[in-house]
Amino acid sequence: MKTPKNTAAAFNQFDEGLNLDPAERKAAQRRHRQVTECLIAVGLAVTTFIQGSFARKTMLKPLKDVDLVIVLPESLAAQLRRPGGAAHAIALVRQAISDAFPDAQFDVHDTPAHALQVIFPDLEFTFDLVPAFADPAGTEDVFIADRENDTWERSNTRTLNGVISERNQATDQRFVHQVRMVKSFKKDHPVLDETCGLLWESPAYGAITTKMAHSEAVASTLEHAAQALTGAVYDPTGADDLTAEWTTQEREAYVAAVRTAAHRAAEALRLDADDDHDGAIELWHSILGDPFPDVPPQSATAAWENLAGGGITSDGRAVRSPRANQPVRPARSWRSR
Amino acid sequence: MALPLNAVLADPSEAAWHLLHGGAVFGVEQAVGRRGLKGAAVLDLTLRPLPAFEREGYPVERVRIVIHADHRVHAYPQGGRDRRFKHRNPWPQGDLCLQYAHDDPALRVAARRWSRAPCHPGPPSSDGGGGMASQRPGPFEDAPHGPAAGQPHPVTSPRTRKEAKRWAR
Repeated sequence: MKTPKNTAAAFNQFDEGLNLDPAERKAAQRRHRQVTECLIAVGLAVTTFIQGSFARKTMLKPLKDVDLVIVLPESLAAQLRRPGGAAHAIALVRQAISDAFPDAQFDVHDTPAHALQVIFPDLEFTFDLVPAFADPAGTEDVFIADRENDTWERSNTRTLNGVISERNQATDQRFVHQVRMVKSFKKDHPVLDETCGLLWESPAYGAITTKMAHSEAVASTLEHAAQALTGAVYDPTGADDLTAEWTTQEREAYVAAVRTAAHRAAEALRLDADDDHDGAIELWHSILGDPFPDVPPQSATAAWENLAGGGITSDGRAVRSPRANQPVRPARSWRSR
Repeated sequence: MALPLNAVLADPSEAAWHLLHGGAVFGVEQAVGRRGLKGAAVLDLTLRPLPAFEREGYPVERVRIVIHADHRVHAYPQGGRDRRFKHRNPWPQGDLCLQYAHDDPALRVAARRWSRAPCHPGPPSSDGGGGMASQRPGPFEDAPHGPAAGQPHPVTSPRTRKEAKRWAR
């Protein structure tokens, strides 16, 4: 990884490294189309749409799974919206896919409650096929199969897709990139890694409302999250509290971790504003981990130079800016004899 | 966050906790606070060098900081009896001379607020002791040793003047 010349360049490198492989994305889109055509042809679907982070474009690479919602024809409702119907719907989809893709394997790694997991031998990622019925009331909600609880559960996944898409447009297409950066932070963090990915889209949604520089957007999200995580955190549609199952101890640990990161991010912004790019990049590297570029270690000579009246960062780098975590007031040593 | 000297004097243990866990000072590995004689506060700190100096072989240092009730502050390197120091007052004082008392306030560590450690955890003698530290380049300027003849020692280097201006208060 080449050394970036400033913080903005470092974030651009970081962003490029988080993008999904374009070939994988195309392969996923092609298989989505083929599955849709197959299911419509046998009368098992009126339409399909993708959901989840792949649909919202907030997924980190590598592409692991694609969630595909299969909207069943209303004519099947009488047959399937009754006891045993959810599992039967999944079985019908399995049969149709098996006929069209004889090499496909089903529910190998997992048996999700809401989906049929499909492994296509020519793809590195799985497809989760989610049978659903459209809302008879005409809203954009769907009712998705739940074979575990033998029911059809209301889902506003299309609303969520739309909300994120709108925010992405309002931020000049930057929002989803910045969400990926925050998710990468979470993924590389020893404490926060266990939290769900969608959780991090909420503070990003709360903090990033207009076009912002990447560094500013990530710092704002962390600052927002440090406060938000102390209470209920709803998904961007406002439907579900994504922290409802946290224990008090978990919440305290997550908040402490985010506060530390937010404090450092604010420090990095100050250094960047003072053109102390190496100090800022080193701080961002410590916050965002190895996916973020780093700078060469500081020499002792450079450290001495900066200690004449600059500051010391949270990482212990001597910088010219006195707005680092620890200002270093210049002083002349002296003794009386 | 800065910690007022009076707060350190009132509760040295709390001040030590603040230094160890507050994140305001880099490299504080251990910190113990206790009351000393005549209302003084005593802080024993173990300080890790900055990474740039650590890579050069500078060691972890222990220092005792004594804050008197009248706010005089003295810093004593621990375990350095056999080492040569350029800026350490001779025995029996033995404390580091970290600043020139007659300098402009911009060139002195604030007297009333202290949490930014008065000596940063730098090399064995960021006070300018012998060996590696004496080879440090550039901008630092020492006040000549010994009492000045009548007038305060003037600032001589452009960099120090620039810093004094930048830190003017």
